[in-house]
Amino acid sequence: MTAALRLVAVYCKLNLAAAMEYRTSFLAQCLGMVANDALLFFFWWIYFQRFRQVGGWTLLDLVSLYGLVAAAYGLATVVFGNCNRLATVISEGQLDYYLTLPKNPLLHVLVSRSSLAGWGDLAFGLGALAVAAWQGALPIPLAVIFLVTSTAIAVGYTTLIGSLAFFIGNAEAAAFQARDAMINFSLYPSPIFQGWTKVMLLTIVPAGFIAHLPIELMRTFDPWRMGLLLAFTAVLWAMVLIVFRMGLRRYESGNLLTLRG
Amino acid sequence: MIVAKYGAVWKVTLLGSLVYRGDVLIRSISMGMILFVFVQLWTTTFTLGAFQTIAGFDLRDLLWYLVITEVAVLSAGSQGISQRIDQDVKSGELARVLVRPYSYVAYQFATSCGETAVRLPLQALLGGLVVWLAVGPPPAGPLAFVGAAVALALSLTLSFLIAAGIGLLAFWCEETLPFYWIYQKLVFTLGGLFLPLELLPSPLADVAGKLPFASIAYAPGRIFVGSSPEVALTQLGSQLVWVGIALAAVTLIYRRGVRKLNVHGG
Repeated sequence: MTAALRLVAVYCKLNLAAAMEYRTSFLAQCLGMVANDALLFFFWWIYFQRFRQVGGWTLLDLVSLYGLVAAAYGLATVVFGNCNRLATVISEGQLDYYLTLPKNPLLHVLVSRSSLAGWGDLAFGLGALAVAAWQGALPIPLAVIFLVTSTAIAVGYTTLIGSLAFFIGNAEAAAFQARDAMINFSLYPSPIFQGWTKVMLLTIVPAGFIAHLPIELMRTFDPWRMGLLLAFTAVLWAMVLIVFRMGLRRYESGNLLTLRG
Repeated sequence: MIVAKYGAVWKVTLLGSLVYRGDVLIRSISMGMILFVFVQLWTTTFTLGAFQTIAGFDLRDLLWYLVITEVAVLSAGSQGISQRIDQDVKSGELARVLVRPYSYVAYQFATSCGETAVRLPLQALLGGLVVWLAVGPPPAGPLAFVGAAVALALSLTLSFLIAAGIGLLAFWCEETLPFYWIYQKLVFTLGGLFLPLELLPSPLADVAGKLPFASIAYAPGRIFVGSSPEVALTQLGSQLVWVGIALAAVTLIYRRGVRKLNVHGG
């Protein structure tokens, strides 16, 4: 466990140092992403100017929602930046490099890349969470726990979908769609989803666990639903580890020669 | 001669896209998904507020408006165009084109038209199906269909020109992607992609209507769900003006940029 944390810390440091080598690019992507998220949120500002609330959710709930999703996705792509590229890594045979080293290959492949734009998401998310906390809509200890669970679910889900490449070959388009669906459904208030859609958002596209349930728990805490969220996170990660291990047994090297900088 | 040359580029891209039709189909699922979410949002909004109309739009008008705006924006593939041009500039690939008997920008336009020709019908079909199942057939008459088709063509042309302009900024800027993100989100909000301009607060709606972003999403959507001939002609006129301005700007950026190009042997 300590060795794993050390690996994550070393890669974070190296990735940040690499980003600082191209400081202008880093700043441009980071600030660009903050502006991107803010403009996207602007839609909800316009919406709530006219309608005030939707199914009991107000603008402040949307601030918390955007804060949590952006911060969790930002953290996921900054620290575990390869989670979105896993399908490509597997199908192009780039996994060879990680298999030859004495580190956990899944953890190693996930942390060996970092998204510059992810820093922008993280900054916007933390800023939005701070605004929500300042307005009294956010119990900070719960927000920290949910930031961890939402990040874990986002990384776990994208890794699970990316691991399909072990079994079906080219899974890039499927992984792209799954990630797109996860983000898209996460950024809307939960009362608009009913029936089977709600079931789908608590299973095959876990936007409900990443975004909706945490916000509802911060509004009204319920230990059973909190337990459900933690259990889902644990089951998802158990599936990720099993599927990745099964996939590794089927993995065939592409004998690809690559240089890593 | 010119038509045949770029027509051939269009055809080759079209056939190439058809080879990967499975991939194109999977990527078009986004369209259905986005409209599904909009159906949920606006059905809930209309139901909870017991609204018959909002800013003159009933539920059916609003959802079909969103089909057209989403088709206009998603089928344009602007991010791909912008990043392809950005990479061509940064990698020096552009230099290879300078000695060939075609215009780089026109070549990219023909390529993007070929890709859009595959994406657009698929996305219109998927998005239309989701909304049709929710609220029934489109409200548009034959004239609105024709008007919206013309507006859609102008919207796609303008999208291409703006994306190309952003990509060409790579002559001067290390990163062009952040410019693209901001432009894209301005189309989403002030361009009317997410909601008609009539729903914006009044001073903002007036400003947004005068910006080029409205010519990309709002114009085809508004014409499709019904507007007076005067409004339709005003929107088409505004689109033509913005296409002209964008074309002049891209030509200028390209000419200035090419002058800065340094080609090293290798």
